[in-house]
Amino acid sequence: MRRLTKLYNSLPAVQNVSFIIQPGQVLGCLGPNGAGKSTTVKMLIGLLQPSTGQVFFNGADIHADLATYRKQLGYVPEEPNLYPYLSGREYLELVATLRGMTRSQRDRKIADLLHLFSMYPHRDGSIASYSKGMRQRILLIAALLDNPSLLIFDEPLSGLDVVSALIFKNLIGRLGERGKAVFYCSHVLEVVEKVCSHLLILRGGNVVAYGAAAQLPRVSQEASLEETFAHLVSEVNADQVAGEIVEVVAA
Amino acid sequence: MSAEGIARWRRLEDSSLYQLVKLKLGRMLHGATADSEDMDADLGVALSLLTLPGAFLSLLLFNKYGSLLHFLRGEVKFDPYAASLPDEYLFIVLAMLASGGVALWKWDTLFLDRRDTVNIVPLPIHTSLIFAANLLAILLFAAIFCADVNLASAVLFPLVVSASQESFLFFGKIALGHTIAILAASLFSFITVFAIAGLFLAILPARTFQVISLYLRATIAVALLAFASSAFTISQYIEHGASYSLIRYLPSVWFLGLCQWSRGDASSTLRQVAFEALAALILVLIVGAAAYALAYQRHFSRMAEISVMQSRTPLPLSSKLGRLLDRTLLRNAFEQAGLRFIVRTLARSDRHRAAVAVFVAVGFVAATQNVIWSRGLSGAPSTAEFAAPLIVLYCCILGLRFVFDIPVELNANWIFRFLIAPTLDDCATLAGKAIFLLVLPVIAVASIIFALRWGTVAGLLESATLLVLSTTLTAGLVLGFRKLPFTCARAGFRQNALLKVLLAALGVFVFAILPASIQHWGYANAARLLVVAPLLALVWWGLYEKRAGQLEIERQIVFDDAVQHEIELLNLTG
Repeated sequence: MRRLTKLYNSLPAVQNVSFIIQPGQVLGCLGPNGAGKSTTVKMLIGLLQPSTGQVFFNGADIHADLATYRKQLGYVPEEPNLYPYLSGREYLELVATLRGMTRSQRDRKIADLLHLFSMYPHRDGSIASYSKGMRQRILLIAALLDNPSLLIFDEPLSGLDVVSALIFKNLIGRLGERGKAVFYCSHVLEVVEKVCSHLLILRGGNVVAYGAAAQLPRVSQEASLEETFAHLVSEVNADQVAGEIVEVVAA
Repeated sequence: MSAEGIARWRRLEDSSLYQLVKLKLGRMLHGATADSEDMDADLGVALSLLTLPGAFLSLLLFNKYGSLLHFLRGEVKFDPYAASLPDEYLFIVLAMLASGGVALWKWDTLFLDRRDTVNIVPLPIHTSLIFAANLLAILLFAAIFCADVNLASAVLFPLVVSASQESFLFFGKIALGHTIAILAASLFSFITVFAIAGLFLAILPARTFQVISLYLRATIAVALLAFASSAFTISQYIEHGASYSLIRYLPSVWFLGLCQWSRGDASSTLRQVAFEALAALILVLIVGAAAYALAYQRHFSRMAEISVMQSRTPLPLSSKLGRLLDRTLLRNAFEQAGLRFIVRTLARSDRHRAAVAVFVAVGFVAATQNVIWSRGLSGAPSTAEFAAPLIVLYCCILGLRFVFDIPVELNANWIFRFLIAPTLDDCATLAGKAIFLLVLPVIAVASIIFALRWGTVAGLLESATLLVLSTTLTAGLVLGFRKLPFTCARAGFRQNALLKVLLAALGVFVFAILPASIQHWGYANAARLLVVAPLLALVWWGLYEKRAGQLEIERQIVFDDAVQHEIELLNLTG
């Protein structure tokens, strides 16, 4: 992404954001609510046109040929918005067909991934009856189905149980090893710290830190990523606010 | 308001019953799942549309009751009581149709669902209070819509009837009789639908009820429409002073009796049916409340225990049919995925199924009435018999095209935005193929009926005619369609809605009545039908030219019907 800016009614949601994701790199995106993470993701996947700046994939502007770009892209949105009356299998078939996968390739991959994500027994249940974690797993499968080279995950662990979350964290590392580029948005610092090789921290639509995950605390002279994050973006004393909440509850 | 009044109002607002009634009423008025802003607009349109028929019908009757016109016609002895009786009957049927229709429309929100279990049950509220609040909310809802449906006619009709009368007592009697009859008829119709739903829910297992729910609604809709379509015949029957012995079992006649009884002008038969109206109203209220209590006891109290995991194993036949279509008619991945999405949405979205069912029911009722009224010769199909499948087909095609514009889960359409190239221009083709494939069974059934009744040649000619006409109509309706069905915010039906309704009515003549007359004329000599060929060629040429004249950008897929502002503030100084 090169110098991306997005204005909503002339108010900037994101300003001059630039970063690169190399193959094999897992770039974690952190920031408080309203920092511009969702806007950045939407521009990255081509759902939003930047006000200024460009998004490049393999050297070409993504908007020049969005279809080709998206063929290489897997995306898990923040909210598991799915068609509730379809079954999990039907939804995945829909995605695979739209991605142009052949029937044999599609059926085999869907069945295998449903097994691996423990969704096979529920494959023909309607999505309306799925828990949030099950919907999230369907979204993860849909994103991985066509072997994309760039993966964008927006809060992918939301609703996942401990085992699935553990599998997913390891999966991110394996995908990186296979040369996939991963953009990972999350609020969970521990996970980001564990799975991401690089970090991008946003605040008020601006980049406040960008670099290798291991180097950031050292550069900011903090002991951990949590302290670095608190130092860079936090405007309040978390401990003090927590104390005040307890006082109000007890009153 | 006094301080005590304000305090009392605040106490009421703070009560659990008030909050529960408000919640349920809100869910019924605005819909359980839909986008609230959209549904607010829908509610406004629905409330306005429901008052219109009563207003129009009242105004159309000015001609009948105006004293000057009576004078000009030389009618010196005009009895407004007797003259208004057939019109009262029409108003009663109209009120029953509209209120029954509203109950069908809100069918899904009448009973408590899993969302209620999740949100309300964990709260410290007694279940009997939840039951009472819901019942109260339903009665309030029924009262609001019954009042809305009848508001215009309750004011206008008595004014129209008493236009040439000087006595206020006359106006009062007409207004009283009319208002009591139409409100009671409305309430009866609404509560009857509610009681039917409650009875089935109380008797059947929840899952079975879910499966048959749509068919039950469709049956009630067809019954209501059939009942409405007979209104003019019975109204004329009443006008000519015929005996009530044959029609006294119709609920609408009971309420006509109630009207006359309230006016103090009922014959002994009408007085008797008036009591039947009151008895029937009380009976459905009791049955409705009892069925609701039973359904509540059986389902809502145990809803948390009922497993919601429903399995849908695909039928082998549908899979084979899908593959066959993939190899023949559906030429790319978009069409293959799109058709499956369309079929599954139509099969499973209650809102869409209900909308299609309404169109199909209207088609069937209109076609049946048309055939019943006509007297064809047994040797050859009559014009009405030719028109019947065309009317059904017309309604099916129109209904499918209409529901394509009704969005489903707008939040979930990100997957299409994400996966489909914005330059795609195949939407009209997909929509056309989907409509064509979905109406094929109607064509097949009609052709088989024609073949069995009038021979193989008649069956083949019928199928050829239906195929040609349905593809032509479909091609015209999807021209300029640039959306994936069900994925866009509501299109502008509300804009020019009246004009569109009028055009749809006119379309019955162009698509069904006129071709049926030509079919009838050409039945003896099929070569005569060839005269239609140049006309059809002209229509197709026009469609081709129109499509060819579209700019590339006018054919590309869109996901939003939001109006583009003609003037945009650029904020250049910022």
